[in-house]
Amino acid sequence: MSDVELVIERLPSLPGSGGAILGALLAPEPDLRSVERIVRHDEGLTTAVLRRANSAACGVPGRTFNVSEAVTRLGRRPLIRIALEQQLTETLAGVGRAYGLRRQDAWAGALFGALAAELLAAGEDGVDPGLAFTCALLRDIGKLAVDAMLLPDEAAGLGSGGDERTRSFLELERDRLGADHAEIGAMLARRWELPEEVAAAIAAHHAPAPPDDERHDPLHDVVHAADAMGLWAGMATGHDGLRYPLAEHVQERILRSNRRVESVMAETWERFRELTHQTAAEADAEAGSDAGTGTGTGGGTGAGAGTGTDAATGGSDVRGRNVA
Amino acid sequence: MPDATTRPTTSTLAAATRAAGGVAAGRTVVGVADLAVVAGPDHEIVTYALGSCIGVTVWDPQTHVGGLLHFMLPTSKTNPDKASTTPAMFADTGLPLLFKRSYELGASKSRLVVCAAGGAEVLAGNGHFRIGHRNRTVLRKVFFKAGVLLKAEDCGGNDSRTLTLNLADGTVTVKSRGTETTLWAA
Repeated sequence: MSDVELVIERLPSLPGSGGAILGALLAPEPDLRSVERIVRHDEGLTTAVLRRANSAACGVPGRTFNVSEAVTRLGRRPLIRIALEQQLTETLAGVGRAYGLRRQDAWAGALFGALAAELLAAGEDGVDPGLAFTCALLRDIGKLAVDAMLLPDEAAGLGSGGDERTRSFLELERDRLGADHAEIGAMLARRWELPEEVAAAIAAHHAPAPPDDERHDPLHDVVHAADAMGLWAGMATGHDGLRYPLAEHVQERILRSNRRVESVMAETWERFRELTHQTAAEADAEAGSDAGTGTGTGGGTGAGAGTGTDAATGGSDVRGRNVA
Repeated sequence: MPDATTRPTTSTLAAATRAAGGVAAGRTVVGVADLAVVAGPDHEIVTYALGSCIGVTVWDPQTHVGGLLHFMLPTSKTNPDKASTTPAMFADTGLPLLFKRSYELGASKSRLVVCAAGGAEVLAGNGHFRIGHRNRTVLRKVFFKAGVLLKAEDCGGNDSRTLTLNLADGTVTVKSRGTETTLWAA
């Protein structure tokens, strides 16, 4: 067994019913009864589903406390989001220590990429925006294992000399660890029993097969393009910086023009900010009702989330609050 | 710099309010597509992880007014609606706003020390999608038109950067891959 396999073996399983619910929702023909059963057996998931089904954002009048009705009200894509938020936020929050990321950076980077993938997928034939969102959200889970194998100082020093500075960080990871974080992420996804489409997209997110290759999948192109947008925006870029390749066929087929890239990045940023503000407002409301005190949202815009290279210093939390 | 006709961002207003109240001690974090201007001297402004985005600092040594803009994209032409709600997202709307806010707090254009960092690129063979390069080009164009000179810059390459401005003495530092270097000091 390789070092990587040993580390993956020792990593915790996906919390709660994460693997099961995602597997059920991402199946080609989702079985609603299975979904309902999984939700009912997970207290946290039940709470989240009922809360969202009764929120103004759901757009259905009248309240429901019935899981079956709540699942039907919400539909597949919102349920995928709830499942991911509920099950993965905490797991992804601490990812990327070896890369010099601060807590929540990786989660915010994952979310930005997921929103970009969803937007890009909307214009691509044969790519399900919900699946693209999920794959992009999970694309960097391999860094969870890298954290267990590499110290931050060591990662910062990788490829720091001379010609090494322009080498892809994936090559440096392979030299040092025997596998890069995309390959490791796919192994972890399979261990977590996530659908094979998700594992394959994670494996290909830095090197999607070109159209003349039988392994080519437009979903992989979309996730790769979304990852590049995250790098350009500086989301969750640490010691590895932007040292990742941009596939030529993805430039032609998905990105197409600077105008399109800039337009999608601007829209993604707006959606990201809305979502993080909404999450912050919900958390503040809960904290206020629990403790009888509210908290302000500070002067930031949520923009600091996911952007950190210095794990040792303070900074904005996930809401972009100013830190004195 | 020409006056900005766009609305200020939330954080700009918050920073200005802090300064107007005479309470400006501590640290302000500027996120992506955001800016802050503060009347120092007992204050630090920082922005994390500049990818292809560019961070621009301004500092007046006499009044200790300083500001930092973290813009993501070169031009608002492709997204005019977003420029009205988030002017700090673009170089062509964010830069005028950064200077305008600085003047409002007492800074003088003739004294301002201006620095920039960021504009990194991914590893792309044919170089068509060079967001960092496009950001740097528009930055230079705006400054050329306005007669603003950069005192120091650290742009390009493939590394992510953290940019910090200390309002006490105007020192600007850049941190990349765990190593901090001084970009400008009096």
